[in-house]
Amino acid sequence: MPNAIEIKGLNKSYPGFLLEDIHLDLPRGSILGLVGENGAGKSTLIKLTLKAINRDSGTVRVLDADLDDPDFGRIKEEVGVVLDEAYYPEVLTAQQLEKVMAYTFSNWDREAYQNYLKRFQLPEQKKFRNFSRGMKMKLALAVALSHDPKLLLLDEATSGLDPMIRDEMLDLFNEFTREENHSILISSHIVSDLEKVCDYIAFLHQGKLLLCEEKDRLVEKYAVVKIGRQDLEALDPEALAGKREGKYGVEALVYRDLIPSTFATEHTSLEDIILFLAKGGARG
Amino acid sequence: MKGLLLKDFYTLVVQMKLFLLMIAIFTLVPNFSMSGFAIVYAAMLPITTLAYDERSKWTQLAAMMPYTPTELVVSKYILGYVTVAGAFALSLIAQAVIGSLKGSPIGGMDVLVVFITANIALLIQAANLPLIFHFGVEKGRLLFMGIIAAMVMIGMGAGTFLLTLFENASAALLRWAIPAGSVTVILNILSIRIAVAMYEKRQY
Repeated sequence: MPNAIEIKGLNKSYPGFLLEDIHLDLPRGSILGLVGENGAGKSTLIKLTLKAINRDSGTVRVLDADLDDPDFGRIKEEVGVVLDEAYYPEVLTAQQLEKVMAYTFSNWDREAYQNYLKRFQLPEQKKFRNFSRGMKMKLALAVALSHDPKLLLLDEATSGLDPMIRDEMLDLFNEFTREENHSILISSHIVSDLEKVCDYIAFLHQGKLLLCEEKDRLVEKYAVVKIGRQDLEALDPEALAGKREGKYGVEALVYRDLIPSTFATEHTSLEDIILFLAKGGARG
Repeated sequence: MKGLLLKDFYTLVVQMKLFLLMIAIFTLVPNFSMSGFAIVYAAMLPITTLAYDERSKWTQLAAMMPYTPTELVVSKYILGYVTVAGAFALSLIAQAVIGSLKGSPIGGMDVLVVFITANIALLIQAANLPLIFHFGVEKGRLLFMGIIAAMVMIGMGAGTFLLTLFENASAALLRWAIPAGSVTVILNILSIRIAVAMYEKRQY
């Protein structure tokens, strides 16, 4: 099955910022988590994926269509977008928004929207400006899911939400990808959220894609070890992916298959891997 | 396109109430050009919706939705045409009602003045919207004021000419209405093309 998103050699520059040579695939039916610090280029990458901004070079294919295809607008009908805030005019109610979206998406599903409003307990008549942040994001998600999308692009959609709402949204993402042709690209600062739902992790650091791998493979590939300085010096330099030196020794991220079996490894979370790689870079 | 216009309509409901209230108040002011005010105010409404769009960051979301740049731009022009047409009709009706109450029915010159005012408002919109799509609403509003001031200066300079025009209003209506309308249409078509190019160039 072809990929939902295929990005090859993508470049975009602004004064003081460069998104450089991005290669990234999102296989259909899976969730890819895009992680990176503020200003790493996550939002830029998501905007480039739907041609909201123009790229300098490279190719992007979304749901089998090239960004330059004349009918790319049709593809946008199959993409649900939730940005870091729900960017709807604040005077609108959920009911008015429904009417606007019914004219926007040819495959708008009124019944699905009504069901999401009920499920999220969102009032139909209340003005959007009087919604809490959680309610606003739920409304944005209801809109994104109510036009039969094949792909969801979520840019920091869970940031700033309390753990209960975040969990509810993550459940919904899992539910969405139960259909094999449904895929999600989600960016987040909250690595634990990504760890819960993602099949693939892409790590963007200062405009460069340091890695894009299966999440399970990442956890198999890397391990954190706590060792003394002498052990560190004895370690094959190729085995070291990152390190943090402290008063009593060194905490290091290593490639599991390049360290001696005598080394005791710690429980290694995705967050550990990301933090170490952010400081030390990565090798394939 | 319909979705965009509907969104703007919902956004402007409060504005429209304020607009009608101001019209009612200004009607009572002696020697005040109510039609001029109503029409120019109507031409500013697309800018008001753009300000709402920018404030809610709708512009960023819209760029990722299935709207084409042409739809996003043209919807604002259409909104302007509809509101100016509404203000034009409202002005004529109000003048007809007031005229009949005073015992002086609406004449050709009244229609010509309102028609030319509507044309001027649409020319202002044609000059202003590409600038707003390029510079954003804040700077665009300042430029709008500048354009209004320039129009007033030109109007004052051309005052003598306009007076001779209005001396024989019925003939002037026939002689000038079609060319004025044609110029407005041509400049609006050009303006839309420029605005679409500006929109595509700007990064959302």
